[in-house]
Amino acid sequence: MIQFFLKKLIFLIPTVLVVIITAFFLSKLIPGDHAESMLILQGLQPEASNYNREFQKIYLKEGLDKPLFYFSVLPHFYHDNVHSILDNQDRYLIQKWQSEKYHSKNIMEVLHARQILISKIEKDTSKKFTHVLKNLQFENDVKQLIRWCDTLQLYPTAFKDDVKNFKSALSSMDATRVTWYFPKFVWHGAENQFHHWAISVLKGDLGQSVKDGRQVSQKINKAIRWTLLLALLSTSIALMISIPTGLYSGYYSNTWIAKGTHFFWLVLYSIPVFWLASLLILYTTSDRYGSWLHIFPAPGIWYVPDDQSMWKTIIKNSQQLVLPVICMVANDIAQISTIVRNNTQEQKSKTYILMARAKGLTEASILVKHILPNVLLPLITIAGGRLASGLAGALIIEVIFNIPGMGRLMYDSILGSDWNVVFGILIVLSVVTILFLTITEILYAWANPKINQKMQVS
Amino acid sequence: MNTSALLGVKLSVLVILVYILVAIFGPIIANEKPLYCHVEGDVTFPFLEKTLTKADDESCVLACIPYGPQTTNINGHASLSPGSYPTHGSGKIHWLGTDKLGRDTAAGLIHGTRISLMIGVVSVIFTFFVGTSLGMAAAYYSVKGLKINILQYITLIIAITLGGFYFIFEWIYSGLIVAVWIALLMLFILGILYFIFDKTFKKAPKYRINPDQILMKIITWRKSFPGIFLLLALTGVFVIPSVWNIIFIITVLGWTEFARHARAETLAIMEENYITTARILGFSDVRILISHVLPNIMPTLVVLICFSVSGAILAESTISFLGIGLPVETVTWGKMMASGRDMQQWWLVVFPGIAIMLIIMSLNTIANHFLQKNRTNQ
Repeated sequence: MIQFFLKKLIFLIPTVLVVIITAFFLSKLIPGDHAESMLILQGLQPEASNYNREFQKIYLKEGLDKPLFYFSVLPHFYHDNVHSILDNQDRYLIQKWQSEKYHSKNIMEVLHARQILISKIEKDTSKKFTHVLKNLQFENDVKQLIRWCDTLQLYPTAFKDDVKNFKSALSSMDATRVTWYFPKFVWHGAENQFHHWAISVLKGDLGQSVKDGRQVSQKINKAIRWTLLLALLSTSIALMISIPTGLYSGYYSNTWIAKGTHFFWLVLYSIPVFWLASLLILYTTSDRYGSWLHIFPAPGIWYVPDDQSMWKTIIKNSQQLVLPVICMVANDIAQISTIVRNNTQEQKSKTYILMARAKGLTEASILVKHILPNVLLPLITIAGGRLASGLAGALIIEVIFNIPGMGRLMYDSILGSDWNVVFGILIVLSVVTILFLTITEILYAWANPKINQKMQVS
Repeated sequence: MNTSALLGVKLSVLVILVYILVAIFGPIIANEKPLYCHVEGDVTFPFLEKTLTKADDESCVLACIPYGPQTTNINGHASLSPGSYPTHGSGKIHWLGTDKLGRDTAAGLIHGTRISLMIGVVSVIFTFFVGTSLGMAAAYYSVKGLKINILQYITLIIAITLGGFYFIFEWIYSGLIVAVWIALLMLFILGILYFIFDKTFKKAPKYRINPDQILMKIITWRKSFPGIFLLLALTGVFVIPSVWNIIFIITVLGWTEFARHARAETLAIMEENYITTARILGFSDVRILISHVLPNIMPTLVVLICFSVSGAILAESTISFLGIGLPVETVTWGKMMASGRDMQQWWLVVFPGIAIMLIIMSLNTIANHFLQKNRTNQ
């Protein structure tokens, strides 16, 4: 048994690793700049004079200048690590020109000439060339830049040579576009963004929220209790209701009550959770459609003070918890009860039931002592699966009912582009899901005499 | 099979047919432009044109619901309850009311049917092809045993790395179509080399590879992510929201389910006599898989197809209810419901909900019917 247990735990490691790698590359695919969001959090506007310096400071501090992964496979003319270029515009230009098949060596020369030219124009005191400077800073079309250099050369200026250099670099870059390319393998070693990020994630540090500057792990820690509470409550209530009804309608499958409940569950199963929630809120939380329908309190905003304990909040808001739990239970009942019904029907036709009847047992004791254990066993797996999917299913309920759980946090963070929080939640919930599924598997093996005895023999 | 259950299945098929017809003929049923005009001897069909032409009503045949799903009209049309006429000016009846911007609910429902059915059907076509082919192949070769020699191994690895590399970078440089051609060319070269090495080095030592294990690993990884959270995180990757992104994401997340079932079913029938016979007769693997394995695992897959379409429709309406991932101007069932919930307009909550529920219930009923049928056949 312990061997089996340890084996399962060891198999968890690669899965968790895959989750972390997936989350990392997804977070890098997201458009937008992390350093920029951090600066906005600090209250620094892009117009500020020290913006570039502060940007580079944060860029270096967050380790964004390091390569993404342990190695990279790139076309041979690419720069080894474009992230190491600190200037924002330069980095953008090299990425853009590389994708237009210009050789990175030429691009670096152009960028160098461009940097010199910009500093020369900036030093020019006559201020005649401010619009020229703007053009130079934001133009990214190579042909346009060459044409623009031609016109600038017509004027007698102090930086005529620099313009000439810039133009020659540009035209030599334009003349040698790459046609054929082959892959280049670059090994970066442990000094990369993924390595540092993964280590901090494994230590429990998921970074900082760019919206309010709080630790992501702290935010998740607060939110996950609500999601777990909702999932546990709804799954246990659903099990309590669906096992008796499923047993009944499976055992006495030809009665009208059994058929009626089966049909009712089928309809309930087809109702989307968010529709049920919207209908219940619309009709039962206000006096609008008659005061007798005003049963539940209107879903309000839950404000949970930092020092208030969770139980206090639950007791205070217990009335508000009724509707969300009803909505989550409604969907679960239909599924679980149908499974219980089908299993019971299957067991009913087995020969051991015939044997029990022949011994003269009552119908009730056949149902409870013989059928129930056989039906409950596969239910362990189902309950575990429901609990795991209940974590995900709580998302829309939390959004509709304003419960400060993981789903609500995820939704708000996506709308606010707070990607650190989004991927933190993704990792935490994935790990919780994996744990649930593994525990279910172990429990099943422990409870199932067929597997358990086999393991003890071997 | 009792009659009441059969009646339910027939009704469900009817409902789905109606939805498909509505989706196809949506622009004719609900359109702000007239369908047919006869002005001064000229016969025109304004609903086919892009610009809105002004035509007087007497010489034109209007659509049943003469409103478009996106036409806003705050003046006299806003927040009308079902079956009421506009309070200002002349206008046709709003059968199912309007929202706060004066958009007709019925027209929105019809347009939403198009979006939902398209997402449901197209994404399931993709998931079916990807999932079933991978699942079948994995199970088939795990039973048959796939042994290749060292040269084939090396070509396989090189072809996969180079193919992936050129696919990605050609996609950046010259677009998706060229990239797909490059990938197909790579596959072709791989096939030829594979064949040559197989024939010329018959005596070389062979190594066993098991595609089934790889597939099972991928399925476990996919299962460890909570579905809707991954879906929402993925929508953030795309800068411009579009319906095709949603289809892509649903395909990426959904194919493992088809692969799992196709694999299990294929494993179950691999021991059957007709497969053994076909293999002894020397039929090619592709022929056995397509004309002997696929028809026999189809009954299980049909059930899964019905459930997957309803699942995809549900996923689409859920994320559009949350207001994430779809373009602002697209009118969907979920969005209408979300706006009705905020504004406390019951017709915007009830009607789209009924539309979603009916199609999901029909699909589930049909799926259950096939499930029962498969059980009794076994």
